[in-house]
Amino acid sequence: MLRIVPLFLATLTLVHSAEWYEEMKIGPAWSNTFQDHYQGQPRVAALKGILLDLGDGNHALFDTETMRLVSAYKGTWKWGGTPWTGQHGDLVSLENDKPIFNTAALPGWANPAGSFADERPIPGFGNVSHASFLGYFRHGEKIVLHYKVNGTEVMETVTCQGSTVTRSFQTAARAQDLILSLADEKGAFTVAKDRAKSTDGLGVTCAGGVLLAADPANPGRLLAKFPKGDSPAVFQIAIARNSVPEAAPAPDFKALTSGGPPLYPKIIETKGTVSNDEKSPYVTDVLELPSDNPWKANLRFGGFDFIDDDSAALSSWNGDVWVVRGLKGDWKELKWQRIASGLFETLGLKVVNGIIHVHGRDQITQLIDLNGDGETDHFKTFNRDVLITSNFHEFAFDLQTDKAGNFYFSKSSPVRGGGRGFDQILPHHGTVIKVSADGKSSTVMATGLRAPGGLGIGPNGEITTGENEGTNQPCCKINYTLGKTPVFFGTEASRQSLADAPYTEPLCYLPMAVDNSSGSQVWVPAGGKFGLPADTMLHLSYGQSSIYQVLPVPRGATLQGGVVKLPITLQSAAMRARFQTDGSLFVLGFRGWQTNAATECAFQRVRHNAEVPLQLPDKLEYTKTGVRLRFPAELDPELAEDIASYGAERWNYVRGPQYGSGEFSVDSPDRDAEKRALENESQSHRKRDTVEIESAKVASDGRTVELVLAGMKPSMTLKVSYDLEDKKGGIMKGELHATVYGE
Amino acid sequence: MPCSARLISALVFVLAAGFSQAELVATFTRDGATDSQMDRFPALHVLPGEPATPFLTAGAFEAVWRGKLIIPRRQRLVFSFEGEGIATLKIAGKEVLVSEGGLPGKASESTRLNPGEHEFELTYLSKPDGSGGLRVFWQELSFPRQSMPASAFVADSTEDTKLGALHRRGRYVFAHQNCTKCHTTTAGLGSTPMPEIAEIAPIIFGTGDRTSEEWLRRWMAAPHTLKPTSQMPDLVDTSTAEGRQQASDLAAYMVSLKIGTPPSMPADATLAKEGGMHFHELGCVGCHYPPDKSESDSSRVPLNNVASKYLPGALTAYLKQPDAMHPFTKMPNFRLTDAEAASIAAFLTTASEGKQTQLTDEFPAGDIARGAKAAESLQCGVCHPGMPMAPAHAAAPLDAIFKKDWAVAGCVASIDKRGKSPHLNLNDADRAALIAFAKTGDSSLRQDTATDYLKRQSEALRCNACHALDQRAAGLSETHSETAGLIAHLPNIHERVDQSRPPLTFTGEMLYTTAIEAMLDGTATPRPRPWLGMRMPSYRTHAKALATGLTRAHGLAVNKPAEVKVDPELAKIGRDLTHATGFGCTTCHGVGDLKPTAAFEVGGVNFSLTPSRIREEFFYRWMDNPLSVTPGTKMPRYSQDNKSQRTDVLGGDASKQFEAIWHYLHE
Repeated sequence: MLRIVPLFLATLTLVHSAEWYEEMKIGPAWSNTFQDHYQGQPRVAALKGILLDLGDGNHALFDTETMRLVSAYKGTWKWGGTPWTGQHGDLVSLENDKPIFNTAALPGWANPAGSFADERPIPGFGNVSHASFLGYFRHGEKIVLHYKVNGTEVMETVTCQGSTVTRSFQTAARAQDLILSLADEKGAFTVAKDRAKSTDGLGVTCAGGVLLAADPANPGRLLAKFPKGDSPAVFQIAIARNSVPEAAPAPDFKALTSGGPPLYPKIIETKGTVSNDEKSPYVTDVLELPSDNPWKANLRFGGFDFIDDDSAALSSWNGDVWVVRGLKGDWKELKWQRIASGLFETLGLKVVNGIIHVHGRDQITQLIDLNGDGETDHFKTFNRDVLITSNFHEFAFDLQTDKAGNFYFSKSSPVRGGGRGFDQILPHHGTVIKVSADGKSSTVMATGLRAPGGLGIGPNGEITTGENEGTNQPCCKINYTLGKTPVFFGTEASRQSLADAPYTEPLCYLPMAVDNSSGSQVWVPAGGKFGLPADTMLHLSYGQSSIYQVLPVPRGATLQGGVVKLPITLQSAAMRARFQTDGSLFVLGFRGWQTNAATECAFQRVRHNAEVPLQLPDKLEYTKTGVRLRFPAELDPELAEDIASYGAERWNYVRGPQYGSGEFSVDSPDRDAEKRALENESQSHRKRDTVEIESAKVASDGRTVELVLAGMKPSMTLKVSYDLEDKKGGIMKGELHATVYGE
Repeated sequence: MPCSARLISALVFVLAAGFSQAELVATFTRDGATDSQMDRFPALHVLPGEPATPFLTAGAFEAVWRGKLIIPRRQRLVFSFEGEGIATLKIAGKEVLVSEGGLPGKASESTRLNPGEHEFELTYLSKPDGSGGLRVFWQELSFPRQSMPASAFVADSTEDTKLGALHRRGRYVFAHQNCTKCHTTTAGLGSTPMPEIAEIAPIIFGTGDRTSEEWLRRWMAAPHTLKPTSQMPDLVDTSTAEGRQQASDLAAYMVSLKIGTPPSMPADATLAKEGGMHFHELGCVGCHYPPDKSESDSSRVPLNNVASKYLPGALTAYLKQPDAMHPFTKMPNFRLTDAEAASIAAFLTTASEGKQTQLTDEFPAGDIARGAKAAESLQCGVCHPGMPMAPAHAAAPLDAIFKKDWAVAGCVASIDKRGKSPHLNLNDADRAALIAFAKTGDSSLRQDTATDYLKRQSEALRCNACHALDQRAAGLSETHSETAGLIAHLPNIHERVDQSRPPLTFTGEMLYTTAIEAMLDGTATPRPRPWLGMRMPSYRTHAKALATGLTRAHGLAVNKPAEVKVDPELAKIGRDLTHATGFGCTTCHGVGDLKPTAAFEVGGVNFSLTPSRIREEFFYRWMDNPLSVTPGTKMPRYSQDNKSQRTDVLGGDASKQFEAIWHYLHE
């Protein structure tokens, strides 16, 4: 940002005022998608890259899909990426047009056949089959990369001293030679066993028995061979341009992988605001976030879980993980610790057996503290099957588990910048992915999603997701499946392998006023104290910062139903929620997309006040002639049987290739308009049917009312409003939005 | 049933539906005379000396709006007025509010209304001098005080409103057909005549520089076949050899009328693809058929004769300035760049090549001198400035024709009774309307109202082709797909944010009159919505009157940006609420040179434009519930029942928070 500083100078001076992301300390390893410059041309350098801070302005980029050191250079980068600049499309672009060295877009290591060919099913995307990234260790500012090549475990450090970049390797026993692609130059290399030099001045020396060779087919490519051997070994390669490389001392890998000094030792203390509202059925307490922190970390938290009754871990869009302690107390002294940073858009977090699992765009990572200082020393790969591109919109949302311990997350489709259409679709775009409890395998459980901002796993393994309006998605909705077999949720471009699968219609369509951007779903646990029965599903609206109770109606083996809004006021978007063991519901959200959220980010606790009755229907049934609504208390029969106490409307949407949908009459279908809605965006078409309430009758329980409608028929939205009183004069006023299917 | 009565009967539905949104029956009474119409909602603003409607004289009047108030759910409503005069509101036959003098005086008691339709009757008496103003407001727990919108009402048209619509249509056709050019009045039509009376037909001089003789020949022979919407009368009878000769002579004469514009380069066909893209992007099919389509109905203007009509370069020049030779053309000025105009001309020319309307007649060679004489005898100069005309053939004066029955003889009569009168381009509906209008006399031609002008011209200029109004979707929602293929080749067409255009439902209440006029005359800079591929064209001739009409339709006086005395403390709170520290409005909205931080899927109007555009009253309606203003908008709703999402600022009072934002936006 440029600002004008007139001061007392005779002339105006333009100075640069740092953006927040320029001031945020990210840490020694930064996972992201990076662009760079290779031999004068920009390229996507690494989809799942880790940018290593080598100190003194030097950086190196490691590609965790190909196990390749992409570039080492002195300099910074041009900012890009939605979580950073907010823009859609531009990537973080390394300013390495004058690198110390670069490598071409090949696998970093030769496969067992000695080939560097990209043999991935989709060249350029995904993990190479002969090498796998296992994570990295942090020791202070030092990073040890950990991966496996052709069955051999490798530890690697990259350091820079003076003008020399030193790559140090510790390998396990090697059943065969390991061949590394070390550098690519325009000019040819001259090689003499353990040293080499390119015509462009790149010098290389090595130690530990590494053998150098120019690629016979490409004399500008330098290869390094690590001879096979029965025992572990340490190898070093020193690289410098226009100077004689001087290798750094060999690192102590054991020490570096046993935990080191913390990066963020300062514990930030904040206070919470505990509500003294005694008149509302739900009250909201808000934790003050450690926004004022020495590292200028932008805390837009998008995932969390409880570690225990007193603490929780939260992950942010900008790759931080923090732990807050003191949840059990009076919230006068909340203690926040930054335990990890530099992760890749981490929007899901789950604690299993005390281990924090954090879900980023690149992988699910286990955060392990090796030395008991609370900070993460080992960033251990749990599962990294997911395929990604550089599209800004393929967000990785949420992280949940089922009773068997399997993990689930949702993955957006790569929507283009204007929200219409898609970039290249890969097999994991627009899906729900199930990862086995041991992290070793993954399965696509649902396809056809566009922007599933969150998901939920039900008590019986049911899978639910939110969805946003867009291509093939007429509006927000709650997707629901029993989780037995993969299903297709509607976005044709991300149909994936389910070519012949029918469209799985949602449990409920949600009009814009109810939800304009969906978050997660959460189920009320047994024995909860939230004023709702166990196994009640709640749906979070990210856009409306609201929480809805889902009233399910059986539909064969699956569900249809409706939603009513819970009287809960939040200070943030409703993105993630989890129940604490005391029965309270913690809700988290940040502003990254369109939302009416009151603040950028808030972490809050919603408590139920059992002294104040909840005046919402708690059961919905469909009859052949209308609906049956059960309220929590006996109703004033005069009002309840007065049809004037109710209103009803219904309408349909058109699901098609256009963005979103207008509203279309059910009772007097306009087929021409519906046809046109397939060709043009139809949001301006608004034809709702007013449905006459023919009768209202209270059942013998005194709290269930049966409404007979002028025709009960399938409709994607049936809206029923009510204005009633209970027998004590308590007002019950609200509305239900439901979806009615024919069968 | 007499002919005229049959026509009236057949047309009433079309007329009632075509000229306005039918929500309330409005009956105006003055000195025992009445005039009825359908109004979208009850509102008026009449200045001293103006009539309440064109069919009543100026002076004290009564207006009554009747219909049904639609209540979707039980509501406890409070009603109030703004304006001057005496107003009485009855709902379900019960008097709810009476107010006199300065109408904002008091509000009604809270009135509980159950879901359904309720009889609505609002009676208004103007001030004794005939001036007055009225706006009707309501409020409820779920929304703040705001003017009652069109969506609150429904009414069936009555015989009186059907007749009123017929009169209005007849009056418009009379003016639009340039009838007063022939049927003149020595007394004149006063200082404030119906504006369309002053319209003139295209200027013919220089036609030879612009138009081909071949097309002119066909045009003279069958103007309504080539362009069904034209007011050009049928002047020659091509069933006779003399008529065909006359068409050729007239064409030869007009081609001889040259200004000396140097010939331009022919349209560059290689630009046609780009021009097609602009043709689609600008939404030309809102008013036109695609150029390769030869349609004979009058719902849209065909373009299939373009290639055969324009001489090289002339179409580009026309597109750049459509009103250069036709100041009252309905074709707006899109402020095209030279490159845009050239490419669109190339597209139209290429696409209409060989698609011209074919006539079966053979035409002889024309003669310039005979053509000149024919032009004089046909009185071309009456409508077309600068063309010859023969004074001896003057038609009956205005006052005389209004004493006659137009169904019996003359221009409007059926073909067997028309005699030598010009063959105007009138359909049965037009004739029925004109016959009905004739019975009202010519006094309505001497006056007008801003809101009647708005209704006529918004229909004539097809505002609804691009903009939704109340429940009526934009016409382009039906037609735009016809040309979607013209942009299918563009690689990034789907990467644009939402291309929806703003509805007109609240325009008069939303924008200052000056801002509306600036949009209409093309002087609004910068564009409020620069992300739209479509652009608002200029209607310079109509801008001021349309802006006035849009404002007055909401019962407002013509207005301009109000001075806002900014409270610095409130503004500071507003700033915090607006930026990332609050609601994050700046995610989608720029502020001056600061761009939106992360606009996705939609764009937001730059806040720096707010002070010159947005009226405060509308600001609160919008902030309270954007979806109630623009269905489908992505603008989030930040409050419910006046309770803000943000509970720790100004007590969580949404209205106070919005006020703070208002102060910040005017800081």
